[in-house]
Amino acid sequence: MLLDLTPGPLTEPLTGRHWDQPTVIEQWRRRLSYFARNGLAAGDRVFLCYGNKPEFFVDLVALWSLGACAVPIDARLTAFEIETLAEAASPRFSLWDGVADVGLSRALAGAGVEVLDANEAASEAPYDGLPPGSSIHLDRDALILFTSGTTGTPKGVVHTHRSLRARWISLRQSLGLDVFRRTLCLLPTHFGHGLICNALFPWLSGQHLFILPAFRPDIILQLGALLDTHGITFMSSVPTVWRLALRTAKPPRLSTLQRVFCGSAPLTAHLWTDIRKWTGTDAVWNAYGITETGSWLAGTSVGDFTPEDGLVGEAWGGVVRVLRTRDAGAQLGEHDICAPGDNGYVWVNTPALMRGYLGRDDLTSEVVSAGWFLTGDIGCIDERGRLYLRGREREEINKGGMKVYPSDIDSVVERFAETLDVCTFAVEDALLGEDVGMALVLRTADEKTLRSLHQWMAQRLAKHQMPKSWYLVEEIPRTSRGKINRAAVAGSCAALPAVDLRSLLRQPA
Amino acid sequence: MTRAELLQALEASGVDVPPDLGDDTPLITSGLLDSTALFQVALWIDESVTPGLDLTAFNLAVEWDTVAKLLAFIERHASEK
Repeated sequence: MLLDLTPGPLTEPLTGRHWDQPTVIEQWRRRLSYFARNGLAAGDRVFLCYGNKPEFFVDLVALWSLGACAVPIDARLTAFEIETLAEAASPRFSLWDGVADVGLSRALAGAGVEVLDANEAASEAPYDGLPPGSSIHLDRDALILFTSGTTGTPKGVVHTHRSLRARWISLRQSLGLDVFRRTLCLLPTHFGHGLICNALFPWLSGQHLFILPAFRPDIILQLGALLDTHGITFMSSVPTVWRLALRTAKPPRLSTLQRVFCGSAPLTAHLWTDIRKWTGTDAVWNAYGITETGSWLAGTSVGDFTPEDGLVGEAWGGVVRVLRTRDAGAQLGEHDICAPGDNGYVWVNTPALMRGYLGRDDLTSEVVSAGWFLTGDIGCIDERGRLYLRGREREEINKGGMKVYPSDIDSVVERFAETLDVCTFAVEDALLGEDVGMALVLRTADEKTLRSLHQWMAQRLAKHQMPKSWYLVEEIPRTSRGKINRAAVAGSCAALPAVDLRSLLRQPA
Repeated sequence: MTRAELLQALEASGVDVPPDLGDDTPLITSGLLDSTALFQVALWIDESVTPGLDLTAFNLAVEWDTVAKLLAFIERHASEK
């Protein structure tokens, strides 16, 4: 069934809209007509500039059915970032939920990207010549997910139909399907965790998917009631959802939840235990995944267990090794494997591995070696074969499960005329785990310049990338090799007063 | 708790309080209170206004959705301290 792409029903709890399987197929056929009429051809790339709606999923399978490659885009990105991504991916179309911003439409059109309104497809006559999935070639590109570089050199993870199906088949073999029969997705559908695993794995296996807007606080406040009303059996999540829900939301009264995953950010034993209490199930698992591996590649499917900091569990459809080396250019061998309990670099071998980074063979070769993928995480495997994560080597800020890359922000700030030096780094946040801090050296550090810089950044960075805490410094320390140690900069800024952005921005320009 | 004190607390929680915010303007359903601000408001109420009150016993999406409702909630439960 997986190889035939048999989509299940779709429900949008907030609006009460429900598409049963025949309706899903009909909607999919309407989109086939719509895309075919607009001249979509096999191999075309299409930006999906919206998500978390039933229409998004039928658009996606319709694109695949015609041989196109879908590129889900975070709708919060600025026009500048979307143009940067368009330059890197050369999409044929961009698909919007409604009419796209005029300026952006013009810019995309100038770059040869045709702008389409997804709502127009609903009135199209259903195409009746093609059963779902019939023209899908396994080695054709299916999905590109941009993980960083939206302000400069984008890094797009390319998955083929083969790698995606390898992930779904692995999950089905490791986890079964029964608990996924009524799956809730409240994660964004433009990143691997939410899209590939939380949503597409159950839905394309014929299970019922309940789809919500991502991370809306009013939804989290009513999460318990929502789980009860819809008899939800499975949901995935990130720790931030629980930090808010455990403090503010009524727990479910009915015991419909059979399994809960939490991933994309470290899950502490304390939070883990509280989630178990709130949800009423012990089957709360830490799910470990990376976009490059089709997301979930390991988790706590280990029978009875006690939550522990860093505990992940066992691999799902692949092999996980902890090695002493991080050198993808070296010949990896048994001698590189760390002893049980010893920390090292986490490597993964999975048939669900990406084809590579879009147009960046140089980056791909830095992390892939003879089928093994360097995750960038530090961890260990104990005597029982259970994986534990102990830290990360990747340079990223994990903001509530969404990754923000310091270099993306630095590259925007560096281009501001008054900037002499900049360094962004992670600062602790009670809800999100981490947020963005920024140390700045400015030619003129007066209020007018700061306001101009804020405006400059807001035009080029999505809201979630904007640094929360700004620090004005005389210089940014570098190592003897000229490199920035972001943790050290964060440490030195911790003792400084942050710029009062609220007051600053309240004053007239 | 006065209205001005509440607005000050909302601002301190990261809410961009518009100058013309009405007593019945939706805070949560309108998105004015995002997840981070809502969390900060919950911390503030939990720690400073109604300590010990189990907030998960209420439907806060309704009871905190406007300034008027938030003030009424605080008045009702602060007296239980």
